[in-house]
Amino acid sequence: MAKSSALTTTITIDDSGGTGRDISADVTNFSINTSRGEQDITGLDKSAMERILLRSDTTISLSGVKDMGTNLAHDVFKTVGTQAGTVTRTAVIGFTSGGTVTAEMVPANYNITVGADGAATWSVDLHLANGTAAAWT
Amino acid sequence: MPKTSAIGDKFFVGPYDLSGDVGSVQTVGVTRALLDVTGIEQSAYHRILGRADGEMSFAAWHNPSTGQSHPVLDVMATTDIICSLADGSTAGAAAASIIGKQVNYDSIIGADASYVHNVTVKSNGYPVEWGVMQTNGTQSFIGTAQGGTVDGVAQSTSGGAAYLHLFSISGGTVTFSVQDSSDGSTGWANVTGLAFTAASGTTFERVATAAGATIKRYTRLNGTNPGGGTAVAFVNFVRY
Repeated sequence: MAKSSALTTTITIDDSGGTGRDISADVTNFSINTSRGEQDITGLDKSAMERILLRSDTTISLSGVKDMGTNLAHDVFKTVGTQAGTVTRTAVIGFTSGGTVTAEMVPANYNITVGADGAATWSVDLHLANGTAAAWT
Repeated sequence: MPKTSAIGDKFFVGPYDLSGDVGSVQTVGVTRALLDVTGIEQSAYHRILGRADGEMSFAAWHNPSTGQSHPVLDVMATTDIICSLADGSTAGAAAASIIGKQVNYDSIIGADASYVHNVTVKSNGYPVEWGVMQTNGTQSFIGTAQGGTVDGVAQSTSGGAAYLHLFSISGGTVTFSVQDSSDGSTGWANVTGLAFTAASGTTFERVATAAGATIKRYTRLNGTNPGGGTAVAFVNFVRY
């Protein structure tokens, strides 16, 4: 398959009630960071670094345009401040060109910004929640 | 509903409508502490959410007139203030409110002679809370009157809170309360815990129900003023 862009992408995030909501139309850009801790286990007998991988982590950062419609971005994230601490959100991001990532996340914030030009945008950072690494298929 | 800009939004600080002076809002932010509860048996991080926090920061053009940005914001009150950002001026639309401390009043004079004040309010006791307006922006209530019916989609059993900005009252004493109804037409009654303190002058206040309170599907704002004066107010109702 040829190299591709992110056109198009489907982003589905659970609302605080556990129902997945397609907010693809509201997201203008996003990042998925999948990382592993690393431990330096280099012995004195080695002339080059020796490492092993540790626990994995995932952060998904979303940015978008204000949309107060039912079951869209605002509805999904407006309860970040009040939801129970143990409520997690399933995030599913699928690329039309191939590849889907699924992870159970918690939202660390929900920020709205209003520009001097009247533009209203939002941003959310989701962090891995359930001890299971994000799965790519 | 389509994606929208913030043109037409409103911004209130205490009993003042500063919508004409606030030029931009840097953040209406709610954050949650992340608690790492990962067990040694897990190959990836396990987290739960901890304490919530909130912040509103905005920039206001310098306006020295009574009731406008400079005399309102330069006070730097040591007590809590309430700020609200309303999505337009129609009951039922979204609104965010914060109750907290104003932590700064930074005045910036540009080389082009622009004069702007940057303000940050940090929450005290409650995070920034998103709810729905019970008024059409700043709405007038003459004597005893009600705001429009707002459909909350379904009854809830987690309680709620409400924020009042009372901008003016021409006479008498007004008591605002959020009422609920099962069908939006009949059986309207005050929601226990969502009645604001009777006021004969400008004010602002946050009220809340008990945890787990049942709130019916439909809500509206009721203003009772036996003196018959006109009260201009905004209320944001947050359903948990």
